[in-house]
Amino acid sequence: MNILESKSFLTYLISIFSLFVVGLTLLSIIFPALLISNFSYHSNNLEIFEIGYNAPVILLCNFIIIGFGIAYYKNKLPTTLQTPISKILQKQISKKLSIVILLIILLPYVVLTTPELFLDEGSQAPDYEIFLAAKEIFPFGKTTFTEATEQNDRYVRMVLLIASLEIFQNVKIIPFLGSIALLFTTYFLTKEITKNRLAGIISFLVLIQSYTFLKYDSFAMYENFWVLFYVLSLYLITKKFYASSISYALSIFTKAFTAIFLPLSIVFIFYSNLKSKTKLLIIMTYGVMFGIVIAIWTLDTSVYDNILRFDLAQIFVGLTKTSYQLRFDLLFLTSLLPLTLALIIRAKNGFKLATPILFLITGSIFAGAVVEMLSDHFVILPYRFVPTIVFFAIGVGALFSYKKEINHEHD
Amino acid sequence: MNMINKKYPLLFFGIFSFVIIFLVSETVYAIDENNDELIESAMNFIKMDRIDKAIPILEKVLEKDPNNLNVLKNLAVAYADSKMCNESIKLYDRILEIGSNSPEILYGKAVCFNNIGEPEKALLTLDKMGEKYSNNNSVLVTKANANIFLGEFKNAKQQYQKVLKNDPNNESANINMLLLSHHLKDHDLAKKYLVKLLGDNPKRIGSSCSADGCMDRIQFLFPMKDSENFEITAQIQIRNESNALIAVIDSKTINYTPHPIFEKILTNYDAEIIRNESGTFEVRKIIQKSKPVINSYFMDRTELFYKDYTILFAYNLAIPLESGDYITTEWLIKKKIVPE
Repeated sequence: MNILESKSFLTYLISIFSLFVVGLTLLSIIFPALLISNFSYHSNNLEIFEIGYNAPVILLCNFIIIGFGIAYYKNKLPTTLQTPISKILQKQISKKLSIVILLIILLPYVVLTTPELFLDEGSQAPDYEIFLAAKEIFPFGKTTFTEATEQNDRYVRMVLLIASLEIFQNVKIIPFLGSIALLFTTYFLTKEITKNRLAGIISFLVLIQSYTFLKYDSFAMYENFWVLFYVLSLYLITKKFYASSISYALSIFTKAFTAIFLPLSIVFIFYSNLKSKTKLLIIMTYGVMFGIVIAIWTLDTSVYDNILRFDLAQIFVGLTKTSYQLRFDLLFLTSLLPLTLALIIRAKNGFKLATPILFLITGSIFAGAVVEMLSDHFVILPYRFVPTIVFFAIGVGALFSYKKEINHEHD
Repeated sequence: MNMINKKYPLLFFGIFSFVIIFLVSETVYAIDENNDELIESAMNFIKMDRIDKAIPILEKVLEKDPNNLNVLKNLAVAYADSKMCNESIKLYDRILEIGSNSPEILYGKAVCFNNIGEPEKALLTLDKMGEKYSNNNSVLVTKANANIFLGEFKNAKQQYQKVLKNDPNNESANINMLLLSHHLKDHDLAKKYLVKLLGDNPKRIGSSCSADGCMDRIQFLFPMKDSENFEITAQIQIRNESNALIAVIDSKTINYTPHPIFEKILTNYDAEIIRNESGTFEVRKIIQKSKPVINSYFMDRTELFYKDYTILFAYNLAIPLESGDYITTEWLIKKKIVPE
């Protein structure tokens, strides 16, 4: 099998996988009790086909968006709609204009979020007490407090939070700066993938409107550093590939959860425009980086090896969580299936980065379910969907470089 | 000439003011040459539990009088009380350098080593106190605490028991036996000390104890998975104000109290007896409906209370809520019947 065939086979597999993940997510929105009643360890008398509260809106929006998308794709829209949409999707804007637009979006966001920085983290999040306990013994002190030990295994996060406290006497400032940096990294990654600044701005907008992003953007305990370093590692693959694994390592030492994103990164590398030799080199640096991460965890008698288990049913239970943990992210829930279909079509039409983007979206949803399968200590929490929202934003942005693709490969 | 005459009163006033300011400042300094007033005000702040105010004053005094033992000791304790044990240890070392090798300094330093997660150093410091103090209750408790951090639970247990033999009501040893029982997964031991500490009808001790025990300081609640007698699961339904279903969540991550009150409460509910290959069980269902408080992150726990004392606590639920949402929790409790 040559590279082209492997890519198209992998695209096929990723499409099926993505439809499976998205399908189960939507199924749990429509029937919240269906999966849980089948995989529950709690004997129950649930009404399995009871309709979920979000179902009517989500279903209706899905039909409308998909219908509209099909009509556009088949050129069935009235010309008054078809032409302007096509123009917008392919519109390029100047660097100056994009900077102005980004500032116009960013300024109100910063102004409106700044008051949150003066809220007391301790009364907002009980985990702050764990952080303080961890800080007292950071980095290598011993404690019987497992949660504090786990916090101290996240060296980069601890250093950044302690720095925020020491420099600004406010634990929230550096996390908030991290969230702003995440917005810009999302913009640059989308722009790099699509070669279109407007696409970058769209992804910036989609991320900044997200309920989940806005909810946790200034929380120190649910900071976005790990997402920032991970998204940055993807961006660096295309820009300074030798630094990508360093950024990935920083992400893992901020939150070990991103270690499970490795297949997502590998697929991204595989589909990138880099030369085969460079791709191999990046994968080798990733291998070395993972070796170092594991060595550090082993030397530091990390908490992670003590909390593993295997429970396959938790994959399905874990997948139901997207439906309610992102319940207020209506744009995400209503557009997930249409976007999945659109990316599959774009991949089929020759936009090869559509496949890794799709895999980033659905793989990051699935990663949470895998963690649930492997551990009862770590569970899916709403802020762990921030990477999914970022990839979703990139996916939406990627539609804005739409051209009638020709199915060809450059590799 | 006239101009010169006008300047004289101004010049005189300037010199006079300077002399007055100089004299006043000198007098103030002379009055508090030994920093007695500053020290007294710092001690008053400490008495009022305002350590944050006392610390800068003591630091100021120490700048002027770096070898003042009294200030060094008080500041070291103030740092320790403010969770600044690294600073504390530096001061204890200075006191020891100056020559005061008193056991209280070594003891304070050892406590701090435990607080910053360096139990080996805590034990070494305590060893320097000599045989005379080896059976002192505070020293034994600190040694036992260090042993808990090191995972030497057997040694820790012996040391706490030694303290309790000398002083059966020693609060620290009793609480730490409870903590130890958590590490030993010995729920019978926990039961004994819960009754000893909380009596037969326990009440919630502090608001921070409603979560994960007391954030590991005192484990009032114990992981159900470590219990030999109980299997407990919870199923939580979340609905909005129109009664529409938002989510159904199962939880096995449940903490419970091994206090006998738990079993007493269970007798208020009808039980069904089931037998399977694991044994014979009494099975009870407790259903509670509640309106959770909307917090700033997400709802991650639900509790079952008895007279404000948490007896069951399910966590890791992670549901974003909005006003009007309510939850129904169904606790399924299987108690193993041990044949007599």
